[in-house]
Amino acid sequence: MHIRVDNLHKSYPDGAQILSGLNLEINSGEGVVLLGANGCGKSTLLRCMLGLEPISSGDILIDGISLSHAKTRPLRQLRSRIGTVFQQFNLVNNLSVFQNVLFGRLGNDGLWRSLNLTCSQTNRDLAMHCLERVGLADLAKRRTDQLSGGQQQRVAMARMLMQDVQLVFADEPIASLDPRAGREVMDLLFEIVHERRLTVICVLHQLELAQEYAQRIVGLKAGQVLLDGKPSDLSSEQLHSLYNQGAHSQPTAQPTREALHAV
Amino acid sequence: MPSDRSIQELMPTRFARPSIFTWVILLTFFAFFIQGLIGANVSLERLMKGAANMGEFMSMATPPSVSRLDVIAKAMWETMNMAIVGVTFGVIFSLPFALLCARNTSPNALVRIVAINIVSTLRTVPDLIWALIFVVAVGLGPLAGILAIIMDTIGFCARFFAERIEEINPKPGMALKAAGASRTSVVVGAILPECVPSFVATSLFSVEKAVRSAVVLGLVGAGGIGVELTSAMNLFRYREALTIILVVLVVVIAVEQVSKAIRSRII
Repeated sequence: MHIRVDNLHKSYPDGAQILSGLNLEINSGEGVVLLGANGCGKSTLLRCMLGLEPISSGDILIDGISLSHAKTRPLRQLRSRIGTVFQQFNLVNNLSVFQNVLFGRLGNDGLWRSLNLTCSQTNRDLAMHCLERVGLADLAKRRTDQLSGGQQQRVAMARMLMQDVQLVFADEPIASLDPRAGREVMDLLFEIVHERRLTVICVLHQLELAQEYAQRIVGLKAGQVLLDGKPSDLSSEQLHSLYNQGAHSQPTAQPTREALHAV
Repeated sequence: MPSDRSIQELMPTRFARPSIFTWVILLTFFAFFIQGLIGANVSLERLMKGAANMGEFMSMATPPSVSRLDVIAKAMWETMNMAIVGVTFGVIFSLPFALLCARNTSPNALVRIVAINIVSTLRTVPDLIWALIFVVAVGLGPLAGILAIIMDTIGFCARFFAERIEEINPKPGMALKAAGASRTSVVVGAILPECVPSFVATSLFSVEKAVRSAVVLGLVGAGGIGVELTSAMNLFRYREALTIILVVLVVVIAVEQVSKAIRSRII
C-alpha cells in the first residue's frame, strides 16, 4: 500500500503541537523503521494514519484514500487492510486466544461471522492456520491473560494475519518484552512481512535493531522528519542526534478520547 | 532551615477551631436530631413498656406453629419466583440502559443525560411505591411484585453496569477499531467480555436484594410470603407469624450464601 503524508499538522485540544508540517512518502512493500525520542510524534502519526485521531491540517493518503475526508465506511474498509501491533498487545483478556484471533475478521466479515459460536468453518480453519503460523496452535483454547508477553504479541500477530492485511503498523512491538522474546517477535514479524510482501512501519527505540531490520529509517524530531535514508547511509551520530534534548522535547502525547474511546 | 523557634510556630495546634461552615452543619444536624427525638416521643417509659410487650409477643408466638407450613412454603416459593423473574428481566433491560449511560459507549451527550435521568428516577422511587402503583395497575398478586422488582433492578444494575463500562481498559477496543471493527463489534467484542464477571456479581447482589424486598412487597398485596405475614399478624396468629419470619430468615441467609459462593468463583 502506498502512503503519502502531506504537510501534516496535529495538535491536541490542550494546545500541544505534536506534528508540525510532516511530509513522508512510503512505497508499497517498503520496510520502514520510525525512530525518535519520546513525544516526537511517532505514535500520534500512526494513530493519524489509522484515522483514530482527527488531523488538524494537511492530509494523509493511503492508496489514494484521503484520511481527512474519509467517511466511516471506507475508513473501516481501509483499516481492515491495515494490521496493527501494539506495545501492550491489546488483546481482549477474558476471551480465548482463538476468539481473539477470530476478531481479526471483524473489519471484513462483521461481528456475527467473527464470533467463535457463529462464524463459518472457513474462518475457524483460517484462525487455526494463523495461530500455527505464529507457533501457538497448541494454546488456542487458553485465555489470553494466561500467556507470557511474547506469546501475547504473537497472538496479536495471528489476529493481524486474519485480516486481509497489506500494511502493518507496529508501535513499539517489543517495548514490553525481554530482549530474547523481543528478538523472536521481531524475527517473526519481519518473516511474515517478507513472506506476504507487506508494507511495514515499525516504531522502535533500539537503534541496533532498527539498523538490522529496516530497509529505510525515518527519524522524527519535534513533529517533523529529520532523517530519512537507508540504514547503511546513516551514521550513528546522525541517529543519536534524534535523541539530543532539543527545545521541543515534549511529554508523550496520550491518545485523545476520540482514539481510545472505542465507539 | 528555620530556627527552633519558628519550627514551633509552624507546628499545627492539637485542636483546630472548626470553621463557620462546620459549625453551621453541626448545629443544623443537632437541631434536626433533637427535634426528631422529641417528635417521636421517645421516652424510657415507653421503651420499657415496649420491651415488656415484646416479651408478651414472644411468649404468644412460641413455639412456632407448623400447621400451615405447606401454605407458607408455597408462598415463600412464590416470593423466590418473583425475585428471580424480576431480576432476570431487570438485568436484561439494564444492559441497554447501561450502554446508553456510560460515557464511553453512549452515542451522544443528550441520550446519555436522558438515560441517566430515567435510571436515577427508577432508583429513587422506593420499590414499595412501585409495588403500590403496580397493584393499582395490574391488580393484586405476584405480577405487581415482579414489575416492581424489575424497576428497582434497572435502577440499581444499570447504574453499576454503566460505572463498570466506564472503567474498562480502552486499548483492546481501540485495537479492534484499528482493525476495522464497527461500534457494535467493539462493544460486544472488547467491552462486554471485560465487564461480564462484574455484571454477574452485581446481578447476584440484585437477587439478594430482590428476595428481601419481595418479602416486603407482599405487605402491600404484591404477592408472595408478605401477604401471609400481614394476614397472620392482623389475625393475631403470632405463632404462625413467627414461623414465617423464621422461614424468611433461613431463605434469605441461604440465598446470600449461594450468591457469595458463586461470586467468589467468578471473580
